[in-house]
Amino acid sequence: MDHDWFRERLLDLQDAELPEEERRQVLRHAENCPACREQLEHWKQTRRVLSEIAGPAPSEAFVGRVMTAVQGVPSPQREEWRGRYSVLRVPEWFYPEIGLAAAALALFMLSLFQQEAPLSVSSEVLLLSRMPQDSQWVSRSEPAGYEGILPEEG
Amino acid sequence: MQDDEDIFVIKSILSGDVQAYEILVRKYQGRIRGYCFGAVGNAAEADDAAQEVFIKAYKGLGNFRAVSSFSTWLYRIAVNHCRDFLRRAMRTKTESLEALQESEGESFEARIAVLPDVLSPDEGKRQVREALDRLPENYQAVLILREVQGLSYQELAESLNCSVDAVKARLKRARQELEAKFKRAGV
Repeated sequence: MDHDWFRERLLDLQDAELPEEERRQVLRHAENCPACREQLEHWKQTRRVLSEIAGPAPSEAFVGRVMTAVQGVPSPQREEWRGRYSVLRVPEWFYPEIGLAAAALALFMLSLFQQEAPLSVSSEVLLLSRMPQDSQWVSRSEPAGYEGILPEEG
Repeated sequence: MQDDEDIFVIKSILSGDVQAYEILVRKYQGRIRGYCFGAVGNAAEADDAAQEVFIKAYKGLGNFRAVSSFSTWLYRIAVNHCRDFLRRAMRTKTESLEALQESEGESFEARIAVLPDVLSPDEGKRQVREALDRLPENYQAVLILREVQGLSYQELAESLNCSVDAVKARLKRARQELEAKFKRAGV
């Protein structure tokens, strides 16, 4: 047991939270260690100063005021359903994970409905695409060649 | 530690005996009013806060699972209530100061510079109070519950809803910070 081991237990000693054997060991160490003794003294002073903040004395008037206020409040009921379905209760630390899972599910559902829109292809274009290249037919949408239609110049 | 008498009283209240709540109020008023006074710092506001705590506890009595003792459950309500109260008060104070500063401009600065310091009869207590008020809320709560109310580590952990190790760490930092403030203030 070194100095640090004792120093870590000074707070427990101050708060009377040490087992008897450890308490005696720490006290023995503090007697011979100026740094630990000083630390203990500091904490004692802090406690003394803080204890000066005394609370108000018990008051029957206060009890009366609370009871008057309580009369206007609906009677508390034991929440039986909680006890009955306590297995189903979700711990608070699990809430973010539930949120993430819900968001992922929403995105997945959205992707299912967001299919590619069908291309708008007219039947005419479809027929032309299947026609041989050297066909005599031309599409109405394509301008006809002017060759042979206009009179030759000169 | 669970108090069988408290459990008996709570069962009576839940069975419809509203008046039985008086027993709990009388038993715990000292601790809760003491805590509220430590946290809020003003006797009248502390009493209002403590009254609210008891009303909240009454409303939520059906949720009390008796996993921890009634007193630590009550402390937990008080800690949360006082924290909310202080945040609201801080917001109002900031807003009203800003509004005053805006309306009065530079004359406001000059006026607060010469405001007489309101001294309580006991200067030492006032300084302790001020040092405590300047601590973060969670340090303030753990110090009052430990040093003024005398709660054990386990009770502190239950009241503050954290582990015993977290309580020890917080208590250590709170004490160090308070000591530093005392030194600066010359307490």
